[in-house]
Amino acid sequence: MPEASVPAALSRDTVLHALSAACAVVVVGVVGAIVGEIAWRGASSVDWAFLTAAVRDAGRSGGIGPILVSTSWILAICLIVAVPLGLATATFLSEGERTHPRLVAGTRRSLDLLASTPSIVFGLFGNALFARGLGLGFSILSGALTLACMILPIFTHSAETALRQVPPEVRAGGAALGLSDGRRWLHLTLPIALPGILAGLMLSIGRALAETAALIFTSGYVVRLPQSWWDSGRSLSVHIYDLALNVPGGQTRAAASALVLLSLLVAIHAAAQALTRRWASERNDP
Amino acid sequence: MRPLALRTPTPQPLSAVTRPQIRVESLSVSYDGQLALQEVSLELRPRQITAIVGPSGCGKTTFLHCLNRLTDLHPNCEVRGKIWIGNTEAHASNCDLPSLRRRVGLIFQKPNPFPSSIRQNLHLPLKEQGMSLREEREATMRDALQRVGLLDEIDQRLDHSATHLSGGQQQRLCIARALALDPEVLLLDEPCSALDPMSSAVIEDLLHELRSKTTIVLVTHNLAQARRLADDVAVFWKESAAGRLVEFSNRDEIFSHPKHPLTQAYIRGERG
Ligand SMILES: Nc1ncnc2c1ncn2[C@@H]1O[C@H](COP(=O)(O)OP(=O)(O)OP(=O)(O)O)[C@@H](O)[C@H]1O
Ligand SMILES: [Mg+2]
Repeated sequence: MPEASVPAALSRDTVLHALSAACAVVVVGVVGAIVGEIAWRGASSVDWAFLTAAVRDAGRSGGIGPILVSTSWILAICLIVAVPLGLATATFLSEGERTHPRLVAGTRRSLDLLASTPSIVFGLFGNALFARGLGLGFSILSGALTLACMILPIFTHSAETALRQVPPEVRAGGAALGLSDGRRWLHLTLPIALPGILAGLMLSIGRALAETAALIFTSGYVVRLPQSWWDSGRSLSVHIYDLALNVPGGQTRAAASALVLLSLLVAIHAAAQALTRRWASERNDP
Repeated sequence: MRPLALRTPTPQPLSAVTRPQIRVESLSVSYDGQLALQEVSLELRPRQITAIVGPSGCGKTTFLHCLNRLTDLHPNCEVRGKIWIGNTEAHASNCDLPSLRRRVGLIFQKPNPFPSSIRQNLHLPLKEQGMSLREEREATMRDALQRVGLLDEIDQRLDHSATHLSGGQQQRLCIARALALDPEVLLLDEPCSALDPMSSAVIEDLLHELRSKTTIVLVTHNLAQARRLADDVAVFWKESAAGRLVEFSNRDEIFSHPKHPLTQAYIRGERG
C-alpha cells in the first residue's frame, strides 16, 4: 500500500540524511583538527621577521625568507612550463579524437602512467635527466622542470574535462559565422572552460607546493637565498620535512612553516574563486 | 543556357535575375561510408524562398550543411558532387571557408547564441570579418538587431547574457548575427521548431521581408509554413536508407499538382 510505504521511505530518507550529514561533520572535524593542531603549535612563531629573515641554526631560529623565495621561483617556473603545455595537450585531447584517434589514445595512456608514478620516482628521474643529463645540476630550474612533469597530468586532465564542457553547438555556431578555429578557441571555448581550468590550476599548485620527494634530488636543500634559477634552493615543503625529521627541536618551526604553507594554499584558492566569480559576473549581468 | 550564363565572370544585372544563386550537381553524402544523401541536383533561384520538406532522417540538415561546408566539422562525412554558390565552387579545395560561411549564413534548429553578452555575440563575428572600428561594428550590430525587430526590445540589455533571452529572441539574435555579415544566402534549419506560435509568426514575417535581398533556403517540417512562405519547394525522401530529391517545383505545382506519388501522399497527409 502506498500510504503504508510513505512513512517507511521517509524514515529511510531521514536515516540516510543523518548518515551523510554525520560524514560531512567528520570531514569538517578532520580538517579542523589538522588546521587547529598546526595553528596551535605554530602560530606563536609566525611574524613578519619569521617570514623575511634568513634561516639560522638549521631552522631552529631565524626565519624562512630564502625558503619562500625559492618556493616562489620553483612554482613560477613550473607553472610557466606546465600550463601552456597542459592547455595545448588538453585542447588536442578534446578536439583531436576524431582526426588523430591513435595519437590521442597514446597521449592519454602516457598521462595516466605519469599520474600514477610515485613522486620519488620523479625525483630520481629529474635528477638523472635535468640535474645530470642536461647538466642543470641541483638547481631551481631542475626542480621546477621535474615538478612540471609531475603536475602535467593533473592539470591536463582537469583542463580537458573543462574544455569538453563546451557545447558542440557553440562550436558549430562559431564555424557557421566564419570564425577560424583559433579565434573560436580563444573567444568561445576558453572563456567557457576557464573556471574549470582555474580549478585544475589550483589543484596543480596545491600538489606542487606539497611536493617534497621530487625536489630533494633536483632543487636540493640549500637554505641560502638563490641568486638565479641556476642556484639550488630549498622549497617550503622540503624545509618542513627537514625540520620535522632531521632537526631535533625543530618541531615548533616546522609547525610554523606548515601554517604558512597552509595559509598560502587558502589564499591562492580564495583568489582563484574570487577571480572566477568576478569574471563570470562580468560576462553575464553587469 | 544557364550553365553558360553561370560562367560569365562579370554579373549581368538583367540576366542575374534568372541566374541560379545556388547550383547543386549530383551531390552525394555519406557518413562512415553509409549513404545519407544520394545524387541530388537542383538549382535555387536568387532572392526566393526555397522550402525543403520531407520526413525525418531524409538528409535535409545534411543538405544545408553541404551548402556552407559545415560538413567539414564531421571527419566521418564524405561529400561528392559539385556545389556553386554564385561563381564560387563551395567544395573546391581552394575555397576560402570563412568567407564562404559569411556569404552563406546558417541558422540552427535550436537557437545557439554564444554564452556571452548580446553585444559580444554580434561583435565577435564582425571583428573576425575584419571590421576593426568599434563604432562601425556597433552601427552594424544595431542595424542587424533592428532588422530582426529586436533592437527596441533589448536596447537596454545589450551587455546582458544572450542566454537569458527568450527562445524566440535568441533565435532572432542568431538571425541578426548572420545578417550582420550581409550574407547572400541564408540557410535556416527548422528555425521555428523550438518556438511558440507567436515567436514563429514573428520569424515568418522577418523571412518574408528578407526575401527581397537574400536567397533563403528553409528546412521545415511544417507544410503549412512552407505553403505560406515558399516560392519553390523541394521534397526529399528516404529511399533504401539514403535521402533523395523526389520533386522540386514552384509552390503551387507542389501543393496543387504534385507529380510524384510520394509527394502526393505527403501533401495529402497534411490535408488529412
Ligand atoms: N554526424 C553524423 N554522423 C553519422 N550519421 C549522421 C550524422 N548526421 C546525420 N547522420 C545521418 O544522416 C541521415 C540524414 O540526417 P539529417 O540530419 O540530414 O536528416 P534530417 O532530414 O535533417 O532529419 P530531421 O528532420 O530529423 O532533422 C540520417 O540517417 C542520420 O542518421
Ligand atoms: Mg535536421
